[in-house]
This record gives sequence, structure tokens and C-alpha cells, in this order.
Amino acid sequence: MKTINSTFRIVIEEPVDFAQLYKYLEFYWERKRYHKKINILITSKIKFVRPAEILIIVQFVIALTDNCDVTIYSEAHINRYFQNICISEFCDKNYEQSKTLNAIMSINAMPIRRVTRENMDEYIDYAKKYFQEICGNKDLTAFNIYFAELINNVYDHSESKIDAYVFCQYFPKINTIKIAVSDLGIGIPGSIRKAQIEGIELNNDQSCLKWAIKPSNSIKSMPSNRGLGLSNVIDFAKTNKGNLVLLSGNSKVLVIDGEVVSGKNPYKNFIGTLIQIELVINNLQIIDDEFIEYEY
Amino acid sequence: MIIIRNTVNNTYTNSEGMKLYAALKPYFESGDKVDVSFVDLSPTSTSFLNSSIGNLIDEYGINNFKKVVRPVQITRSHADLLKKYLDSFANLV
Repeated sequence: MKTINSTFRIVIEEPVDFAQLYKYLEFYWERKRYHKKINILITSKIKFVRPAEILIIVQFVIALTDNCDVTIYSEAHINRYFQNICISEFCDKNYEQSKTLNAIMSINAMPIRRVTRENMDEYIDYAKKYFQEICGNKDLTAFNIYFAELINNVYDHSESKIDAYVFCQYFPKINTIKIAVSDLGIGIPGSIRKAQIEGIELNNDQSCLKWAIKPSNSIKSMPSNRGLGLSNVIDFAKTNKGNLVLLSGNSKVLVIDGEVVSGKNPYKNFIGTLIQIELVINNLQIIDDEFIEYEY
Repeated sequence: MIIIRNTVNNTYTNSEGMKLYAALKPYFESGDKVDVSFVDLSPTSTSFLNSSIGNLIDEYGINNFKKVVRPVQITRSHADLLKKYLDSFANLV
């Protein structure tokens, strides 16, 4: 690794500018060079930062934490939001994830968290319990399913350099929980190419992603895998009519108003997989605790 | 009766699914029927189901699974998840 002594400045004026963070990571990992100091300036044109974008920033900071000092500058209201979700803690070189989980009640959010297979149940169950209090008698099965499937996918397929990061927040005005899960791994198209799956255009990220979301398509990274996790997530999003954005490689899959659409990833130089899902509380069923007679 | 909640620590991971697999396997070997209780259980991920139910179906077939395992104390949402999972084996019958 070679140090560059000047300060590097990244200016975020519109959402697609978050791509610059991926571009820098590519520079860091491939060219093995880095700036001692990096300033991220989020301009006043950015009115709010979405959960998925929060994770892009956090991953960036975590990936560079050993070598770079990252400072984030933003408008006062975004700054306050960042303080609430403790984003500056990730910029601290001595940052260590708290062993205890506490919801951020002032903004109805769970803290940003590095989640492993070993501790995912603790995170999911705590978060579900917290949001259940907000959502009353609505059945949050989809909440558990989204997190469990997406975190398992990271560890089954991604080879992420920094594990999986998660963030979720309830937005009262739209009565919706937004959930984001991300990694800096080889991406879904990358894992499909690595497995040399036949019958698809391996060099076409869009065709890889379309293949991955179909039920029963699996690269069998574990013998028992059946390719149902991602399709399960898509099905829940279609039923719930909550928007879903899945970015991987240079491709994207969206679920909008229950319809699945694919296209080009808006972020150039994208690394890993990033997914944001809206869980629309109004569209969930009421909890039904009655036991039923199960018939095959 | 096997109460899943008492057999596993969570219903999300492959490793916990393997514990349920191990608890159920003797019943498949003997051919005895067993009630499997879903009481007080978090939703089941496909990884958990793959390593438990999926492995048993791969080994003994879906028809034997239906003969041996009787899901009980199950809510509508768990039943829907289980049914959807078992439907994925439909083309293998």
C-alpha cells in the first residue's frame, strides 16, 4: 500500500454521486494506493440520505478504516441525522461495535450493524420486537424473512471483505419500514460466473441477476441450497407492494407496485450487493395467533 | 412430539436447521409418525428449512415426509411458509 499525502475530496451533489465511493474503493484495492485524509462533502442539493446510501457510506469508511481518516461534511439536518445513527463512530479508528443492541428511538431506527451468521438472530429478533411495538397488530413475518434470507445470501455467496451490514428505520409519514442490507463481495453476477452456471450469458450481469431471482435457481454454494431465498424476498415484496431495489454488478432489479423490472445499475464501479426494501405496514395482514389444522 | 423452539436456537440458519434434521431423522429411520410443534416460533428462513426438512425430503422423499411429520400448533403464517416451501418439491414427486 502506498500513501498519498494530499486530501482527497468526494462531492455528493446527487444520489448517483455515491458511485464515487465505489470508484475510490476500486482504486484502493486494485492500485493499492490511498489518501491519508478523505473528505466526503454532501452538498445542500441532497435533501435526505436513504438507508441504502447510509450503508454505502459506512462500508466505505469501514473498508478504509485502517489507513484513511474519513470526515463527512453535510447540511445541519443531515448532520443531525448522522449523529442520531452514530455514523461518525464508524469513522473512529478505534471503533468497536457495541455488544448490546439498543434501538434509536428518537428516529425509530435500529443501529447500523455488522451482522454475522452467528449473531443475526439476536439482531432480527430484537429489531422485530422493537418494530412490533410501533406496528401494533400487523404481522411482521416479512421483516424476519427479508433479513434472514438476505444475510444468509451474503454468507453463502458474496465472499464479502467486510461481512454484511444492515440498517433499518421506520418512517411514520408513510407507515413503512425501510430495510437495507449490503456487502462488498463479488456480487451476484460474480458468484454465478464463478460457479460457471450453464445456459445463461455469464458476461451479462442483467441476465445473471434475472437468473438469480428465479425460484429454484441456485449455484449450490451449500449442497442443501435450493435457490429459494432471493425469490422468497421478491415474492414478499410483490405481495406487500413495497418497493425493492437490488443492485449487484452493473445491473439492478426493482420491484415497483408489485411488478419486477430489471435494468442498469445507476452506480458505476459498483462493488458487492446492495438491497433496500420498503415494508409497507398498511399492506400487512393482522397477526393471527390461532393454530390451524395443517393439511398437506 | 418435537417442539422446534426447544430443539433449535433460531429458525434462520443452516446450522440450526441441521439440529432439527438430527432430531427428526430417527423417526424417518423407524417409520414412526411424529408431531412437530411450531409453537412460539419465529418465521423460518429457506436456509433453515433446506437443512432440516429439505435434507429429509432429499433422503426419504416428499411422500415419506408427509407420512412421518405432522405439523401441529401451527399458525397461518407458519403454515403458509411451510406450504410454499413444500410446493417447491412438487415437481420432484
